[in-house]
Amino acid sequence: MFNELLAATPYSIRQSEKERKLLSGLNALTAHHYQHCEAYQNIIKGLWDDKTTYQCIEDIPYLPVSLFKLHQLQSVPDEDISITITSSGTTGQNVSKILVDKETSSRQQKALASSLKHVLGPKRLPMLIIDTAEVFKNPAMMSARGAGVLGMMRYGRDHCFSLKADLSPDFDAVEEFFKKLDGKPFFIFGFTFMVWLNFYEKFLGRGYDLSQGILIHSGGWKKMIEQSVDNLVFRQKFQEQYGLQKVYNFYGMVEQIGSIFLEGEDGFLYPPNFTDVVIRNPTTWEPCKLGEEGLIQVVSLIPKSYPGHSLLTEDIGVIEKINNGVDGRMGKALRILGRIKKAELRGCSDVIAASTP
Amino acid sequence: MTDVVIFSPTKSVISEEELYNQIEALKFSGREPLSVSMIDFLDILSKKFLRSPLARRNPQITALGFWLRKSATKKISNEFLARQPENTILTPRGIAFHLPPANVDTLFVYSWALAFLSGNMNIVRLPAKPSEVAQYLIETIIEALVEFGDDNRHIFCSYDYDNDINASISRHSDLRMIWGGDDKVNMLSKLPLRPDGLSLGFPDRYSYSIISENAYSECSDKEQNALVENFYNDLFWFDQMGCGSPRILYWLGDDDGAITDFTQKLSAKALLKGYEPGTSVVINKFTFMNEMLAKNMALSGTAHSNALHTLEANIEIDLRNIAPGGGMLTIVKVFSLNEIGKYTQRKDQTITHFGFSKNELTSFAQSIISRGGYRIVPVGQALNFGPIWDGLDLLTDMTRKIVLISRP
Repeated sequence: MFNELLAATPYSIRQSEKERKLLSGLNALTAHHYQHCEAYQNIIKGLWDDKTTYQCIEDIPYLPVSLFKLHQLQSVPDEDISITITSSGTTGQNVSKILVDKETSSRQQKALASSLKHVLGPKRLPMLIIDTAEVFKNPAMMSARGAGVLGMMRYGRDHCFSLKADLSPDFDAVEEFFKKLDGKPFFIFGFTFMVWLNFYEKFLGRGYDLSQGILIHSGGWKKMIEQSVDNLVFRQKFQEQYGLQKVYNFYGMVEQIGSIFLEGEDGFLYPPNFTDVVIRNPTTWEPCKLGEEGLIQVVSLIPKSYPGHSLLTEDIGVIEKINNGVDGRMGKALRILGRIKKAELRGCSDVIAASTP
Repeated sequence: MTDVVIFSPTKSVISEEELYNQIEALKFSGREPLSVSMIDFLDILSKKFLRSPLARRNPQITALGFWLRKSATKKISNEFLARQPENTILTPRGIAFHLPPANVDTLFVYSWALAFLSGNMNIVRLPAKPSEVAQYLIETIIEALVEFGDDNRHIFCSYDYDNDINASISRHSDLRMIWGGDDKVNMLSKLPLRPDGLSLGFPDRYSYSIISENAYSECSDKEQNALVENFYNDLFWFDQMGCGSPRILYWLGDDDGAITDFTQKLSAKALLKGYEPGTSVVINKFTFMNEMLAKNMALSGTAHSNALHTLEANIEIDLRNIAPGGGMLTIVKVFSLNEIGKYTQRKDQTITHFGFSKNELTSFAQSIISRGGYRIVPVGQALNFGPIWDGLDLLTDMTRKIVLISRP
């Protein structure tokens, strides 16, 4: 089912038909992970009545994203794992661990290719990376940022890393890139806060012309809100100062790499054919109506080596349209509103854990 | 030198040096323990708390007010006085230094009130940002002390931990009450007191409840509702983060129907009372259930509502200190009370019960000797304070005895 949905033109399937097709793929994945991941089976038995087949997407079991920080979940033996992706590149606490085998990795790549070609066109363009080559030092233990950059690099050529190891501008490399470019279209990729803090601000006033550029970026607006920069300001400023017109934000997460929701010209985010989104009311946990805010749940046909095909995130969003997106896009159009407020219940101690005598 | 916020007689900022001057002045102002005037003073506070408009939204204020009323403190006092050795006269220990916890906002009053009743001078180090309730309690107590003419014997203050103030105050203190978990107790108990001083630590504590299925099934509707109401109070006050808050429910019986009936009624009660944890807390509980199932540490889980989540687990699995609070209850089916005794630990404080006879409970209490469990009380009293706490006879620790032999 993944291949069938992948092959169809992005955003071309009407919602009801998409759901029908996704449902059969998701039921298959639920059964698959139930069979091959003991931890997942325990959860389905203990919380979901031991059911693996469902009548609609909204009924399919979902795991909370934080679970990947607390327990290693895999549906393949250790020897089949080709990459371990972590949310921060360290093995510290509070880090999601995602175990990927060759097949899932292949799905991730195909998925990404399909989504990106829709905005970049069929040919690979010269690529300017707003990051440093240091970001993927260790290929076997990859951070989400490293995996993101490496993944994206396949869709560009003649790559140029615009930042040095210490994240300061590499003006020489960038000059060289634009010289070779000779005014042709190019692809720019980076994480949102990197793009703003380490490119927009640091390369300002040097006459760089990005009018032939297509910027694809992601990473959330939380840090950006602290700078008083939202999506609108971001786009306006890049247009004003660099002539950049084509800017595409996307929503994605390390727990479902490959399933990126790219921004349409209308500013809404669109799930690809093999992925979908359900918004849940935080009081009843029932699916929300169109236009009603709630917690974002994402489903995807990509995760085969780990049970990540149906996840409840800690993000808040709202579905604004169905089947009447910009450019005649079918399916749901999503707007992200931010993260839920983190609240730790206070324990009785009012001292920081005794490291100071 | 650090700034110190002082709450008495009015809120102001003083220097560290000024604080030490005030403490120096306290030295010999002890009073006769358990005197009538002190009982009367606490009764004045009791009336104020019970009448406070804040009490309606904050039932812990009512509980506190109730505890401080004359008949209650007189009872505690008489009971203590009756068991004093013959040739002795009671005297306060001296200067008592209280370090209450960050989350249970009424606790500092219990600690202070007992020490006050015992005739001591008191220094209370309050949390940096006291809650609305704590703020109200501080102001009311100080106002009453000023009127009573006793405010110069009690220092209510607040300061950062990052300095020597705790060490300096400790050196002047005869008694130190450290409330707030293992880390805090470990950190502060290292600081020396006066050479003959006594430091009491109240570290990490967990609590559980035991309900008899037979008794539950034989309840009338009214009795069942009373049980559910009492269990609600025990579980949800202080967001289940108090040391007396039950984290485990041992269910003596095997009928899943009866357990479901109880938990559904508890969930409905929480809805009625309007207990609404934030979305982040609900997700934490949901994540915890997933994690426990993934790790094979629980058998099943149910999200009854945003207020109440339950996990069923076997008795050997210890989920006490990792459960997130906010309405996360682990249910363990047992066949006998004595089974539970084997799994009771040092860190267990309060054990609430429903449906057992005095003999059964006495036998159970004997089965936990040398393990843990410091108060065995009916469901509904989990968060009640008492002068015998964590197994310690606090009034004894807060006083000294002068031996008086008049004839050779």
